[in-house]
Formats: sequence, C-alpha cells, structure tokens
Amino acid sequence: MRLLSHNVLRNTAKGVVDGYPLKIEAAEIDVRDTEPDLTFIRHLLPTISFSGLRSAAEDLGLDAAAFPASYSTTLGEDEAFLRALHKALFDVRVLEGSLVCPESGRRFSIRGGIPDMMLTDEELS
Amino acid sequence: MTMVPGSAVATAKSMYMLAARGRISTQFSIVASPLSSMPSLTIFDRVGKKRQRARAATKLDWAEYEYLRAEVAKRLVDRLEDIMRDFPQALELGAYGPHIAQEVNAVKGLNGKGGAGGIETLVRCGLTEEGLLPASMTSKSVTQEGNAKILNLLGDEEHLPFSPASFDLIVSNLSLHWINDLPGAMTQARDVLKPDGVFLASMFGGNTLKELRVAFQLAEQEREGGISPHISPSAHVADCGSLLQAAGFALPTVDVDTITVSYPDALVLMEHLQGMGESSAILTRRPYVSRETFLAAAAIYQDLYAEADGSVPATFQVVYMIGWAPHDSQPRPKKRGSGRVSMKTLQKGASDGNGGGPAR
Repeated sequence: MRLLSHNVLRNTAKGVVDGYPLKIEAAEIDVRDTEPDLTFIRHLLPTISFSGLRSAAEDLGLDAAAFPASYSTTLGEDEAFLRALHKALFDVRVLEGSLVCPESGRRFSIRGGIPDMMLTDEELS
Repeated sequence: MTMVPGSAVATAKSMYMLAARGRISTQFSIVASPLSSMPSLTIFDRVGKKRQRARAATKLDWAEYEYLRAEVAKRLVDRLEDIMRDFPQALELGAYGPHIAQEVNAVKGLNGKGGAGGIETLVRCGLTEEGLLPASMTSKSVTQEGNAKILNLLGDEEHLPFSPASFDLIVSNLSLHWINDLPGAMTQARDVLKPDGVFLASMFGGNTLKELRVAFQLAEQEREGGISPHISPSAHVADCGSLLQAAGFALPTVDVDTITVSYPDALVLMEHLQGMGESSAILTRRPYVSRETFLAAAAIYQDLYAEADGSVPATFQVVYMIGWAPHDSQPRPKKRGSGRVSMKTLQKGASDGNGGGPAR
C-alpha cells in the first residue's frame, strides 16, 4: 500500500462519523526510488489531504515536518517539495501491517501490500 | 425482474399463482424501508460470489475462460479514449483479472502522460486477492509499473472505503450485475468522484443468457414440477438511464452491445460460466440440482436454439453506462419560465419571413 492510497482510504462502517486518517502500523516497509512526474504531482496537490499525509508520515517515521498543514498555491512551484512529496506518496510501500481507525479502533490488515478494506455484515448500514 | 417500485409486489403475486401449479422453491427477502418507496432486496449471495471468483481465479486454465471479460474491457477502454480528457486518478471497481489494467497500460495518454485516458494511477478495488492477482497470470502489468501506476486493495463495491471527491474516473468492467443495492453503490461512486469526474461501467443486461433461462425453466418444470432461479435478474437497458440519474450523475449515456458466443452444447456453456466466475450466486438458488435436470436443460437448449452445425449460441447483452459527476461547466436545461420567444411567434415569423419578437 502506498501513501497515495492511504490518503483517500477511510473507515466507512456504520456509526463511524469520521474514520480518517487511518493510523498505519507497519510491520514491513519497502522503499524503492521511482522517477517523479512533476506535472502529475502538481495536479495532485489540491486534492491531497495534508492532514492524512502528515499522520502517515509520522506513523512511518518519515519527516512529517517537511509537509505543510494545508494546501497553498505556492507549493506547486517548489520543485524540491514536489520531489519529496512524490517520494512519500509513491516510493514508500507498506507490505505488511495494519490500518487502524482513529475513531473506533477497527483494524484493517495489509497483506502482500494489499490493504483489506472489506467490512463485516455488522458494520454495514 | 426490473428494479421499479411496485414490480416487487407484482412478482410476489405471480409467484403465488405459479405455486398453485407447481412447487416454487424461491422466496425473496424484501425489507420495506420507511424512508423510500423502494424496498431494499438482498438478491445475491456476496459471500458465495467471492468464493466462486476466488476459486475460478486460482485455476491454472483461468485465462482460457476470460475471453469475454477481456473483449468487453477492450471496448470499455475504447469508450474511455473517446472522451477528450485526461483522468490522472482512476479507480477500478470490482476488479477481477488484469484486463482493464492491461488495456490502460497498452497505450500512452493523449499528452504522452500515463496510460489510456491519461490514467496515471489506477486503484484496483476487488473482492478477492486471487481475483486481483490471478496465480496463473503471466502478464506483469498489474504488479509492475507500466504507463500507469497500479495500486491494489480489497474492498466491497457496495461500501466504498474512500474519501469523497478522490478520483477523476471510476471504471467497472462486468461486475455491477452482482451488486444488491445498485442505486446505492452508484450513489457512493458519484460521491467518491471529483466534480466533472466520469463513471464508466459495463455490466450484463436483462437479455443475457436468455436461452439458458428458458431451457432451465422448461427443464425444471418438466422434470420437477416447479421452477427456481438460475439466471440472475439484471437491470434492463431502459432502467439504466434512470439508475444513473437517480445516483446523481449528469449527462447519462447508455448503450448496448449484444455479444453472441457459440458453444458445442449447453453443458460446455455452463462450464465456461463457472470458469469465468459467473456461476449463479442468487441467494435463494437451490443447493442441489439433479443431473437429470441439467441434461434436460441441455437437451431443450439444443432443441430450441441449435445452429445448423449443432453448436448453440449464448447471448451476452453488455450495457455500457457513462455518467458525469455534476459540475457547473456541464450543459444543463434552462429554468422553467425563462423562455423569451413564444413558439407561435416563431412559427409565424418563419412563414412571414419576419423575425420572432418577445413572448406575449
């Protein structure tokens, strides 16, 4: 699971008001450098939840302070920031671990890099 | 059976009449919710469907049964490429098999970026791990980086685990016909789309496997004196437009493809349906159907539908739906009462050669 996915994942079970951001408990991480596409990262900027990104960065031991608290239009011009953002969103993969809902504590497992977001019958509305 | 309010009652009544003549081993659980006039039905056994698809995907010859899904995926991505826009973040709902990912990675986007439709990241949301990454698959397009980055996760189409306005595009290839609450799932899909995002889906429509349905009904009636559901109820083409609109999509577009596949006989067709992961998963299906009934169904199929060379055709009606998440830039009908020119004036103006004046 990459942080790009984590940024949009939430616990949508019945009774949970805001199951976001999910806390990452990583047992195995893989970091692999890939070539950034700066135009694409710039396109992503307005839609990234920076609160979710900072929470994920903290959970994985990345430098959370490198990311701002919220979006601003000047971010698109800072190439160093865009590269750091690409690295966080795409290069870090959580292979084994869990995602924990901040509200209910419900755990979603991550196996083989694939997070299991399937809800049980009781959690469905 | 169509998902129109009131028809559930009509279906129950006609079931009652049939029961008087023969044994009906079918019952639907209908829960009427006070908040809507439409009863919510649980028709499909999702757990069973998961199991069937997982089992089909672990078979070594899995790829041999995927011809239909692969063909429809190609046509679906064709429609995507017809839309003159880039969709950098895409979600594949009900991902089963690598077909969409392969088609996306096969070409480069319009501006040289990403894959088909300008897709740069494709989040594949599937029911089972085996279906997301079938064991026998030799193509690496779903695990390695191609024109688009692939992100896999397990999730239910009926309960999307995503934040609102997260994706530019949602694609779904031949999986919506197994969803119980289709209006609800499509509404969730619209929520998860960004404004002016596109929902592009293919699913099996009402006419699919009509020959098999008839053969089973006749065989079961003849051999066992009653009928039970074998072929899924599915949305008819006429309903899909209102489905899209009810989910809040603008500019709905529906079109149909009828694919007829020939098989040596009906039993081979049933084997292929199982290999495709499309076996019956209706909640009230009979747990055991006798060999006699199967043979009778195959014989009736042959009798009614065989071609000159002895092969039998199977109809797959594929419905393609396109909907747009609402956005101000989209054309909308004008408000009532904002008309400035009366039709009468226009008519008179056209015959007199004068221009129309303001409405009187």
